[in-house]
Amino acid sequence: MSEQKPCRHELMEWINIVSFAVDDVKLFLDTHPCNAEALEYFEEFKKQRVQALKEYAKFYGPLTLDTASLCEDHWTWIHEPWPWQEGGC
Amino acid sequence: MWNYEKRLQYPVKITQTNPKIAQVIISQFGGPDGELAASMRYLSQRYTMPYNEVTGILTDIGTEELAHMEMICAIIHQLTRDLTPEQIEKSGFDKYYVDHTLALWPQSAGGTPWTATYFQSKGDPITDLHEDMAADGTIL
Amino acid sequence: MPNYRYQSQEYMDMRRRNCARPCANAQSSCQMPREPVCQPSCEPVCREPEIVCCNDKGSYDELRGMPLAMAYVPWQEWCDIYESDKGFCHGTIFKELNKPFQGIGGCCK
Repeated sequence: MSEQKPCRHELMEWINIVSFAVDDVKLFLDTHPCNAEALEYFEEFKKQRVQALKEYAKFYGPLTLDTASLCEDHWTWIHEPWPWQEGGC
Repeated sequence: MWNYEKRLQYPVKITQTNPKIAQVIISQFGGPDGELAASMRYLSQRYTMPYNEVTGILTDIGTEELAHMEMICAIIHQLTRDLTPEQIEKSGFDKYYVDHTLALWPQSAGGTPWTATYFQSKGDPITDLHEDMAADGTIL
Repeated sequence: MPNYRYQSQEYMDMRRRNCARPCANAQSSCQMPREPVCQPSCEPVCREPEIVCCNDKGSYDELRGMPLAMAYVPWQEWCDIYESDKGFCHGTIFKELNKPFQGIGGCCK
């Protein structure tokens, strides 16, 4: 069964959304380290982010060094687009 | 230490170049209230904070400000892409261009190079937190 | 990290009861609104010995009793969280922290 390639733009937008949630709750947890609701929120969005980053790397190349794969026969980290280029995100 | 993620925190897609406004927006990069100053302020203060909660939040906000800096640089880069000599001269961007061409260099809109005098890091936690509130009050 | 006094149970109870110190000026010529006087049920919480002059503005001050010449910041609670896509759009997941710019030309209008 072949896996359907997700839309690059939509997947990137999802990564931005869940990553932002992680970023903001991380700041809250820095000053509220025992807040159970915030910890739960963090776990949930971290899980979604990790999954989304893996999926993106599989089809479009790595966004983090942790998802840079050895399966490729060349180093894809340096591929365009860079984030600041038009078409980059 | 720092890792890098190959994406902007929020996408930047500018379709129309505008060197005139780029000269103003550059203050948000290298100016007194810009993201570079913000980042250096928090990342410098964190070493002498006596509470882990504050050290943590200064580290994380300082890191995020670097990501904001990246977005501002992306904006300026896209606003000044592929300019003709006529566009450069007519917009007044020639004064920046002569020293930096289309490269990004941290300065204020008025041309003042970025300087550590744009922030303070004094080692007293109350003093430093007041500096932070004053600085980010410009956002509000 | 100690959160000096602001969240102590004693202080929160006092706030809830709207306790204040009694006005020292008992004369009828005092035009300022009288502040609520500590009720017996406030005891033993309201035991501040200081007297507040009637020349005070009279309006309730949430920071009453806190040391002078210090800045205070309210403690944020976990509440009113945006859906993730809305939070991303607003630049914060906290509704309380969504403060859009209202002014023009550097001043409020």
